[in-house]
Amino acid sequence: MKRIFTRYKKKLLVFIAIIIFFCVVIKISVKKEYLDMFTYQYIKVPLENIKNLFSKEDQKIEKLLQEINQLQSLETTNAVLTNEIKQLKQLLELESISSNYSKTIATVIERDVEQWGNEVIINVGENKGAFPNMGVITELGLIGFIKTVNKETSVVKLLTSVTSFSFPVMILNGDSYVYGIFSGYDVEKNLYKVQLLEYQEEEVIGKKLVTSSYSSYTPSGVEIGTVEKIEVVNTVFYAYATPSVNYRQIQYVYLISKE
Amino acid sequence: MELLTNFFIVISTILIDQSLSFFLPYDYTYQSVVIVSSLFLIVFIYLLLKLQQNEYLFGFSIGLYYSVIYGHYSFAYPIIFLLFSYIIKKFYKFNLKKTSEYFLLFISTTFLYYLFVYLWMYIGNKTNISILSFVQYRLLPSVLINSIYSLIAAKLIKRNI
Repeated sequence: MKRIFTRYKKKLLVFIAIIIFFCVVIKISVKKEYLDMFTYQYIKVPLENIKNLFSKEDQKIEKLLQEINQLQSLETTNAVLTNEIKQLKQLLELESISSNYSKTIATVIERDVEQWGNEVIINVGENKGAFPNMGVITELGLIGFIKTVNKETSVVKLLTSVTSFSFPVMILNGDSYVYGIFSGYDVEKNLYKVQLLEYQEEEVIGKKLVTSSYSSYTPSGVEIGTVEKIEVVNTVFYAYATPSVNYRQIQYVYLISKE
Repeated sequence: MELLTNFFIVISTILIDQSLSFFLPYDYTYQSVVIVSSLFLIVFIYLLLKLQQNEYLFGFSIGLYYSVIYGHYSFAYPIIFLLFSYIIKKFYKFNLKKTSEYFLLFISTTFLYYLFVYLWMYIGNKTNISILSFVQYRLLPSVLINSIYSLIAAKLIKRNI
């Protein structure tokens, strides 16, 4: 009996050793970063070019022209506001404010094939100044944070992930703010969940949920969603917000960092 | 050598799947259709049917590779691929003759694969998507797309036989 046990124990040990060996060999020999770049450059880009040949270019151009018109008016408003902020900073002798941030544009080169991890891979890595926990946005709002950084690529963990993050947020309620902690995403309701701090039962439904100035990594005022409803669970108030981002169309993103 | 060649063939089809995923519908919020291409699974099953020996090693190594590179180190993949190796070796080897038989085998393995991985993820708290949403938005559309691959593959195999 003892001999059989010893034999099985030996087999088990050998089996575990083989698994570890395999994992190490795969991890060392195959760098996902290179695989992603390879598929992007040699398969996806040519395929996309062929696809573009057959797409309705005119409609696309018309849509883009409309967007440009909108951008022009936004640009004027932005210039006025930037100037005002600059003057106010000079008056108050401030070096920087929490809503100041720098942007780096990136392209999504890979999506999570299995889609269980809620991750995308972008073509900006250490070489362009990306670092872990950096905020990632689209033109509509925050989509996630950088999880890991490689030399030329980075993995972005999306806010829709189950194993989500907690970070400070706030609801813009006129001149005041309602502070809270982002607590994850409810896939069945398609809503973000936010635990509210010091909630005085204000009317916040329909108000914007944005990043807070207390965040260490993201600048304040980056849109996350719109508050849909408030729920009370064991005397704790939770706000549920509709995501501002369309997760079906993530192609170009910005990495943002506080200045 | 045969094992190594097969290994690289499957890896190449994984790369094709990875590229195709860029053009297929996806939605991280699971409010609309998500299609996951699994051409590599059909190729894997076919190679498994043809393989003379080392089926378990082949299945395990593919599962492990997929897990480490694409599967977030989930052990679901080596297990399901080992399971496929066992089923194919035990029940299907050299028994298939008709196109419909190949087609049914491919489609049922795809179905089983998606379901197994979902259950694994659900139990492991990696996802909180309900079974209904999963079936409606992911399983059925993905199986539908893979049934097209299966049909083409089955026809090609039959022609070669």
